[in-house]
Amino acid sequence: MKEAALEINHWCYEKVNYRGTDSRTSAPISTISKTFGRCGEESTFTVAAMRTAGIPARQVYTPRWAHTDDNHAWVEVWIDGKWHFMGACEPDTDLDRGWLSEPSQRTMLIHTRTYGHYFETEKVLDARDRFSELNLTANYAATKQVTVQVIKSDGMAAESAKVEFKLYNYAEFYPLATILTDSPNTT
Amino acid sequence: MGQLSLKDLNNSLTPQYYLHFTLAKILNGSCKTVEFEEGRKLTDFPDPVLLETGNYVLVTGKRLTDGSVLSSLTFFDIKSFRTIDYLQNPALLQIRSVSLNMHSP
Repeated sequence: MKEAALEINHWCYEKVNYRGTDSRTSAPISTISKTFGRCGEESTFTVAAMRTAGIPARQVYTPRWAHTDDNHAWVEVWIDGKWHFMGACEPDTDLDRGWLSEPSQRTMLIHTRTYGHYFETEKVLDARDRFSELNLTANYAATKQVTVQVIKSDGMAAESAKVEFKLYNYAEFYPLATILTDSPNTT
Repeated sequence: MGQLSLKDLNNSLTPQYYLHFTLAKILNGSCKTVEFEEGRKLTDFPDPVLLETGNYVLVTGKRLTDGSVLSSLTFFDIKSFRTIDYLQNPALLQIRSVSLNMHSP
C-alpha cells in the first residue's frame, strides 16, 4: 500500500507541476488538462488519484504558516492503520517526508475536513451539519491544551463569547479558528 | 467618511500594504481588513485616506530572518471631518511575537 501511494504521487507529479493560479480551485480532470496548479489544486488532484486507487486520502491545510506569509495544502494517506503525510505532486522516497516537515512543526493550526458528523478520536475544531473540521496540529507539532476565559465588566465569566485565535500573516492577524466559550465558561 | 493621514518617517524600507502594514475596521468585535492592492507603497497612498467612520486597527509587522515577527497594533477611531496622523515605523517596533512555553504544565 505504501509503495502504491508513493508511486501514485510520482504519477501525479508527471501530470501536474506547481504554478500559482487564482482563487478558483480547478477539478482534478481540469488540473490534468492544464498540467499545473497551486497547492490546493495539486492536493485536490492527488487525493482524487489516491482514492481512485482505493487508498484512503484526505486534504490537509494550514490556513496560514507561522514562519512566513501564506497558506499551504497537502495530502495524508491512510497506510497500515495510520495517517501519513506527503507533498501533493511532490514525490519522495518515503511517507512523512518533504520540505513541509520542518515548517509544519511551527504551525499554529493544521486541519482537515471530513463529511458529516465525526465519531472517531481526532479533535473536532468545528462541527457543522455537513462536515467536521478536525484539528490535526498534534500530528505535526508539539501542542498543549490552553484554556481561555472571558470575563465581563461585572467580573462574571461570559457565556457564548466569540474567541478568535489569530496568527500574524500578510501584515494582518488572520483568524485560524473561532470558538464560542461554553457554559462552564471555558474554551 | 473620515480621513486618515499615514506618514512614512525614517523607515529603513518603504512600508507596503499586506507586506508591512494593513488597516482593519472593527465590526462586532472582529477585524475586517480594508482592501487595498497588495504591495502598494505607503508613499503611493492618497493623503489623506478616506475611510468610513468607525473603530479601526493599524497592524504593522516586520518578518525577521528566523521567521518570527515584530508587530504592533494601534487602535483608533475615525470620526467625520477629522484628520488623525499615525506614524508607521517597523524599525522601531518593540513588540516580539509571544511563544507558548510547551514545557510548563
